[in-house]
Amino acid sequence: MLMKNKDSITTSTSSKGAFIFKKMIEDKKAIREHIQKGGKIADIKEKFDFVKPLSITGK
Amino acid sequence: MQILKKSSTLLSPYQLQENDEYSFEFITVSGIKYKIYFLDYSYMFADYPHITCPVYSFNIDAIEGSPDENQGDARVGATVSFVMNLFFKKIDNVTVYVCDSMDERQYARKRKFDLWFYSYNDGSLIKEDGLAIVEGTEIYNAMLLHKQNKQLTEIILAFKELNERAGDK
Repeated sequence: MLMKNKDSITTSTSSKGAFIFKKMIEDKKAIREHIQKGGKIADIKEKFDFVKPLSITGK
Repeated sequence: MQILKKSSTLLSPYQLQENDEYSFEFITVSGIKYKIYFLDYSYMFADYPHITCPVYSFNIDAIEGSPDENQGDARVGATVSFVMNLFFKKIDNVTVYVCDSMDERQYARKRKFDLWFYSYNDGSLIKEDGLAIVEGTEIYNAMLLHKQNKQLTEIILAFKELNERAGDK
């Protein structure tokens, strides 16, 4: 399992929940800023674990 | 735990576009462009080795236009519902939604997500709400999972524990 970018977070909290939820927020913010500036997800795909866990074509 | 019934007024979802390998997009009648993507957080339950289900965060962002100018567009919720229905074709999928607090509007985001869920869940999904207090900041979050998920109870308990212990040092 990939855990990209996970180790780059510094936090004073030690709980797993704090780490996870904080990382989700930070990832979300970073990605939003990138795409709202016109950036492509392909440019940041190495930093985050993008997945497509569904198909809209039925395949 | 909330198990909800299907709304009687279902609207047609917007047509999804796949412009890359990582996300979906759709454009509303008022010209607002949204991007939907998932990130893999399966390590969320790494401390619970008996939980083996894949866990993904669900994210939706307006990338062009302002959603505030057209808040009553129920087809956005219908589109999210459509995506969720496809996502949960794999019954052991689990998704977590976190409400961004960047502009102090996290509770408004929670209400919108709740509204979508209440309006469109056909009874097959369960939503578990969470509130994690991290360094004094409230992070509203919710987990969706299929009612037939074989690890339902374990996952909900683990999710609750992660939220309740988020403030632990």
